[in-house]
Amino acid sequence: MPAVTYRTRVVIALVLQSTAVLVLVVALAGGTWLDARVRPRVAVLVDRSSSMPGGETDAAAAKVLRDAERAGTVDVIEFAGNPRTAASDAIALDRDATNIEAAIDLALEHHAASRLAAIAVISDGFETAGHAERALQAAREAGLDVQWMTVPAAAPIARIASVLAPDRITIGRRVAIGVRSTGDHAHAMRVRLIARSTSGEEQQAAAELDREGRATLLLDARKAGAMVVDAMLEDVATGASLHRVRAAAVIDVVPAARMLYVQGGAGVLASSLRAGGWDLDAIMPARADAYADVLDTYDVLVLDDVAIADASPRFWRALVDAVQHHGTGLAVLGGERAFGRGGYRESELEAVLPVASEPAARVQPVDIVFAVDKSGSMGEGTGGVNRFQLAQRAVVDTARALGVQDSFGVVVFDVGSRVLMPLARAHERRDDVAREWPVTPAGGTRISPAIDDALREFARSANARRILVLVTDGFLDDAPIASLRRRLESENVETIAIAVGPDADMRSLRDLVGADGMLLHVKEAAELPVTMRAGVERRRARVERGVIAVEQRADLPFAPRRPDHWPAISAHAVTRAQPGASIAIETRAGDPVLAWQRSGQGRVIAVTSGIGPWTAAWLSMREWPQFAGGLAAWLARDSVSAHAVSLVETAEGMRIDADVAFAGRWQSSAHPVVSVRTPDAREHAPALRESAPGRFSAVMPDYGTGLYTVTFSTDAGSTRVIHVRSSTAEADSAGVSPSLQTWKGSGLIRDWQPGALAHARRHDGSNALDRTLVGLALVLSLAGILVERGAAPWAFLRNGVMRRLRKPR
Amino acid sequence: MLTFAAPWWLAGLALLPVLRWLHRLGRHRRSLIVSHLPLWRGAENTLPAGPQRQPPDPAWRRRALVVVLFFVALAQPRMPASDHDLTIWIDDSLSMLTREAEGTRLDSALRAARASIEQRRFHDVQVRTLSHPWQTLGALDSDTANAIAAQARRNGMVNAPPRSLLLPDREHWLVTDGAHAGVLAWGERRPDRIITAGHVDRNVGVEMVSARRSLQAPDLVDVEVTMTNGGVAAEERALVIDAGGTEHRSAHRLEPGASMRVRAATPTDARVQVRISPADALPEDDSIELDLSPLRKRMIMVEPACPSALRMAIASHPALAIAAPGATAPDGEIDCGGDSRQVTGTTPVLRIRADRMTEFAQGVPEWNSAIPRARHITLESPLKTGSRLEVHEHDTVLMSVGGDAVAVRRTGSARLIETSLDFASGDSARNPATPLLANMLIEQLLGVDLIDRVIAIDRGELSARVVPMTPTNVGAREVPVQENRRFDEWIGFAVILGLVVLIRELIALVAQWRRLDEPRSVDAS
Repeated sequence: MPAVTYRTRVVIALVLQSTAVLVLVVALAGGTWLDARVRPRVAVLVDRSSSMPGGETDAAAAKVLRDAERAGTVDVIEFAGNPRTAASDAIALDRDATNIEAAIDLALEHHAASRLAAIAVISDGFETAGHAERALQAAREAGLDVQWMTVPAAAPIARIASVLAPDRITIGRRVAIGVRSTGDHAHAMRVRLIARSTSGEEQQAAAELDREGRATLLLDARKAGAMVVDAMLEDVATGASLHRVRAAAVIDVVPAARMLYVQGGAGVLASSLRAGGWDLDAIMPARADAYADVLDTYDVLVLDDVAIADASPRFWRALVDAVQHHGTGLAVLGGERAFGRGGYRESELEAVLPVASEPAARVQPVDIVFAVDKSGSMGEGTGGVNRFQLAQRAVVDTARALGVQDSFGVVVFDVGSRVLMPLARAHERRDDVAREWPVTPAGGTRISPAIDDALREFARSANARRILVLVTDGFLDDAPIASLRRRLESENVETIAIAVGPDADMRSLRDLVGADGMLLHVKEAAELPVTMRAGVERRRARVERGVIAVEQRADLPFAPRRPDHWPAISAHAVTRAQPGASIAIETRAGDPVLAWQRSGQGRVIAVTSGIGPWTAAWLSMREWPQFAGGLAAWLARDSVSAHAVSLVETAEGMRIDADVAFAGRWQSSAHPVVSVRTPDAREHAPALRESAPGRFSAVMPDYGTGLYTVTFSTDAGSTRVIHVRSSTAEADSAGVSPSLQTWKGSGLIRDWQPGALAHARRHDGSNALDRTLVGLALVLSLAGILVERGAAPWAFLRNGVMRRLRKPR
Repeated sequence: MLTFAAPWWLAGLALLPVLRWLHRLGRHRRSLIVSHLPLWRGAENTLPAGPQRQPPDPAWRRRALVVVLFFVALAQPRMPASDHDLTIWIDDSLSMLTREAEGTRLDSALRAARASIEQRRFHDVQVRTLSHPWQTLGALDSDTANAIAAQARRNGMVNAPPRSLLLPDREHWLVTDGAHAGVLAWGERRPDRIITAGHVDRNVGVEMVSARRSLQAPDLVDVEVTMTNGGVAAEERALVIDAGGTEHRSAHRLEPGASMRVRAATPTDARVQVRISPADALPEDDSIELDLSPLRKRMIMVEPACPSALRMAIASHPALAIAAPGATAPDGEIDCGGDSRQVTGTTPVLRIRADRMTEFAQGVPEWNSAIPRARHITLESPLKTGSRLEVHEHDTVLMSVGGDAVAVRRTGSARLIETSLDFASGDSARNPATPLLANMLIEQLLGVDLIDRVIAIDRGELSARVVPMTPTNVGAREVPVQENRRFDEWIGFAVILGLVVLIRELIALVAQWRRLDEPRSVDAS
C-alpha cells in the first residue's frame, strides 16, 4: 500500500477542520443535535385509568414516546384519578377515576419550571374528576401545543346500559331494580347487585339476563338511610366480570310512617289500617296529654271523634306545632265528640283544619241561664283565685262566644238563689257579666231554688232553644232530682251540668241531666272556663242526621281519586269550608264531608262524618282498602316542602341550588341554612348566596367519591337530598369522549402530529448552545490535527517500543 | 466569579502536553535563520540528530488554543448575573379601572411599574395578569395596557397567581390596588414588590343581575338586582331597571359595605338594562345588560290527534306554548299518530305511542340516572300505558315502571323520545302527575331546564369594593428580594473565540497546502 503523502494529509486535515468550523457555525446558529438541554421537551401524559385498554394504551404510548424522543426529550406523566411522574412512581394511581385536569396541571408546573414545547395526551378523553377544559384553556394561554393521541376506551362484549331503581322505599319492603345491558347477548350473562347501607351492611342479589339483556332483581330495604347499589355483569360460564358500575343506583330507605291514633270513636279506620299493615300507636283520648311532647316524632296523627276537652291546651299547642312546623299529617274524623260538638270552634285545632265548626250556632239562637253554685266550698282555691271566680271567668268566656241572637242570664245559689243577671241579649250583657260579681261564696248547696229561678227566666225566653248550665261542687242529696228533671224536660230545657272538684255529687248530677243532657267533670277548677265553653259549643253544635246522599266535588288527593260511587252517610257534623281548603266530598246541601288543605308544612284532612257508624256503607265499597291506605299514605308523605333542592356537579365542586317559594312567590328572606354530610362522615356548612330570585346556591368542594347528604333548611322546614359522587362515568365509558370533538373544534387540542415537534425548538430565553455539537467540532478538530501530524508520532512510538524490546540484557 | 457548570470537561486540558509532543514530531514548520539569502536555497530543515530535542512546530500553540477554548466551552463557564428576571403580575380586576385624579388606577400603576423597571436592569421581564396567569403579554407598553383594561372590564374579581408560576429564581412584582384580599393570598412566596395605586374610596356597583320566570305570572320574569356599596361612606343611588321600555325606578341608601337586593317583574321577551345613578369613579360597574331570551317560551307543535290532557299540560306549562298550525320552526313536536314514521327533520319529536288497550303499569317508577332527582315524580295513582315499548340496542330508557319501559330515547340522528304513557285515558286529565310527566319528557327532548332556568350576570361578591390597600398592608415591600440564582453563560463566547482560531488554522492549512503545491516542496517525513 503506497504511503499517504503529506499533501494528502493536509487536504484531509483541511476537510476535517472545515467540517469542525461548519459544525460550530450550525451550533451558533441554533442547530441542535443530541444535547437534551436544548432539544424540544415534550410532556407525554398517559391515561392509565381502568377504562383504557392496556395493550392499546401501551402501544400508543410507545409510538408517541418514540416520535417525541426523536424530536426532543420527554417527561412522562401517568395519570388516572391522580397524576404521577417517573420520579414519583411509588405513588399508586387511582385507576377507578380519571382526572385529566390534574395531569395537565402537573405538566404546566413542569412547563413553568422549564419550558415545554408541547403536551401529548394519550387518553379516551373521559374524565370523572376535575375539569379538563379549564386546564386546556390554561395550556393555551401558556402557549402550549396540546396534541391528543386518542385511544378508545375498552368496550366489553356486553355492558350495563342502565340500572333503573326507585328513589325511595319504605323500610321492610322489597325493592325491584331493573338492569338492562347492551352488547353480545349470545353468552349467558348474569347481573349481580351489591347493596350497601350507610351502616356498612351488605346484601347481594344475582339474576341471569333474559334474551333481551334484561333482568329484574329484588333487594330488601332493611335499614333506614341511603342504600347504594353497585351493579356487575358477569359471564355465567367463566364467572369473569365483564362490566361493573359503582353506585349505579342510590335508594333512600325511609322508616315506616309512625302513626298516633287517638281513638275516641269506634276506631274503624284504625282496624283497617292495621289490617293493611300499618303500624300505629292507638291510645284513648284520656292519655293524649302523655304524648304531647312526642307528637312531632309521628308522621301521622289521627283524631277519631276526640273533643277539645279530652286533652289539655298543651297537647293542642303541640299538635298544631307538629303539623305546621314538622310536617306531621293530621286526620280529624267526626263523631259525637268532634268538630262543633267537640268544642273545636275557635280552638287552636280549628286553625289548622280545612273546615270551621261555626254555622250551626247561627241557625238556631239559644237562651242560656248559667246557674253558679256560691256555697262556701266554691270559695276555696289556691293562688288567690277560688272556684267561684273561675266559674265567673267561665261564664264570661262562654258568653263572649255567643251570637247576637243569643241571650243569657246568671243565677247564683247556695241554700237560696238569686238572679244576678236577668235573661237578656248576649251582646247587651257582655260588659256587665265581665264586672266583678257582688257575691261572696258562703253557705250550703240547694239546687231547687236555682232551677226555679232559671225556669222563671226561661219563661221570658224569646228563643226556642234553652240551655241551663249548672256549675256546682256540692252534694245534692236533699234535692228532688227526678222532679227537677221532669220540670226541665217539660220546659224543653237542655241541661249541661259541670261538676267541679272531687267532692261533686256526680250521681245526682247525672240523674239531673238525663240521657239528653251533658255532664262534664273538671278535676281542677282551672279547667272550668275551657270546659264550660266547649260544653256549650258541643251542645249547640249541629249534627245533621238521616240518609244523607254525598257526592264527589273534586278528586281526592290520593288514590282512589274518584271512586265510582260514594254511599250515603247517616250523619255528619255541620261545618263550613275554610278559605283555601279543597272540598272533595260534600252533601247535596253543600256541607263539607271530606275536605283537605295544607297547613304550614303538614297536610290536614277532615272527615265530618267520621269513619265508622255514620259511614257504615263506605266500608263495603270496593275502593275502601285503597281509600284507607291512600289516606294514610298521603298524610304520611314528606312534609309539603317549600324548597326544591338540586345538585349539579361543576368544575368547582358540587353546586347546591335550592329554590324557596312561599305563597306563590320566590322568597329571599327565609333564613336558609345548608348542611352537607360528606363521605368521611363529617358535617359541613358551605356558605349560601342568593343567586337569583328565590334561589340559594352553595358550592361544596370535592370530598371524594361516596355518599353526600344535603339538608337544606329554612323557616318553612327542611329538605333532605342524597347524592352519590361516583366513578360511574369511568366504568360506564366506552369509545371516545364526545368532549374531544368539542375541544378540537375550539382549538384547545389537535391530533397527534409528531412532525410538528421536529420543528419545535426550545425557547427558554437562554442562548444555550448544543454542547454535543461543540464536542463534535472538538473531535473533528483533534482528528484534523492528528491526520496532519501524520505517521511520525506512530513511527516514533513504534520505534521507541522496538528499541526497548531489542535492548541487550 | 467565574464558575463552571460542567467542570469535569476541563480534564480535557490534559491533552495539551500530548498535543505539544505531536508537534515535535513529523513535518516541522519552524523558521530557519540564515545569514544570507542565497544560503536559504541550500539550507535544509532536517530532523535533529542524536539526543537534541526538536522544538515543537509553532502551529501547536494555535491548535492548543483551539482545544483549550473548546474544552472550556464544554465546561460551560458562567458568571453570576448582575441583573434579574422579573415577572410583573397585574391585578386586572374591575376596581383597577377606578378613575383617580391622574387616570385609572391601572394606568397609574403601570406607569409606576414602568418607572421602577427603568430604574433597574432586568434580564427578562414577563408581564402576566391575574385573570389569565398562564398567558405572557408583551412589553409593558400602551397596547398591553389597553388589552389589560379591556380584560378588566369583564373581571369582577381575580385571584392570586398559581403557585407553580411563582418561580423562586425570578422577582415577582404585584401591581394592584389591593381592593380585594384574594389577590394578596400568595402563600409562602410573597410578592417581592407591590406597586399600589388608588385613593378613591367610594363606589356603588351592580354586583349581580339574575332573572327567572315569575311564579305568579308565566309571562313575566322576576329580575333581581344586587347592588353593593363598595366604599367607606354611606351612599344614595337611584336604581333603574329598564325592560322593554318599562322602567322600574327606586332610590336607595346604602351603608358602607352593605348590599341590597331589588326585585322587579318584567316581560319575558325584553332585554333588561340595569343602571344606577349618579355615576361614580367606577362607571364600569354601574350598569349591566341582561338578555332574557333564554327564558322565552318554547314553541311545541302538538298534533290535533293528541289527547286534551297532554294539550292542556303543554298549554298551561309556564315555559311552553303550543305552536300555531303551520309554524315553520317549532322547538319541538308531539306526534300522537302512534305510527312509526321516520323522524328525519331537525325538530325533536316526542312520540306518544298508544296502539293497544290501556292498562295500568304496576309498581313504582324507576328512573334513569340521566334524569335529575329533582325531576323524579312521585305518583299517587298508577300510571296508565297504551303500548309496550321495545328497547333496542343503544336506546336509553328514561323511565320504567315495574320493569317495563314507559319512556325511551331512541338512537339516531334526530332527537326522538317515545313514550307509552296513555295521556288519553280519563284519569290523565285529573292526575296531577300529568303536567309533571309532560314537563319531564319535553325537558329531556329539548335538553333544557324548562322550569328552574335562571340566567344571571354575576360580577362576584364584593366586586364593587374599591377601597385601596392602606400603606400598613403593603408589608410585602419589606420582603427582601430572593437571592439571584441566574447566571450569564460564557459558552458562546468561548465557542466564538474557538471558531475564530479554528478559521485561522484553516487559513494556515490552506497556505500549507498551497506551499506543498510548489515544485520545491519537500516532504520531511
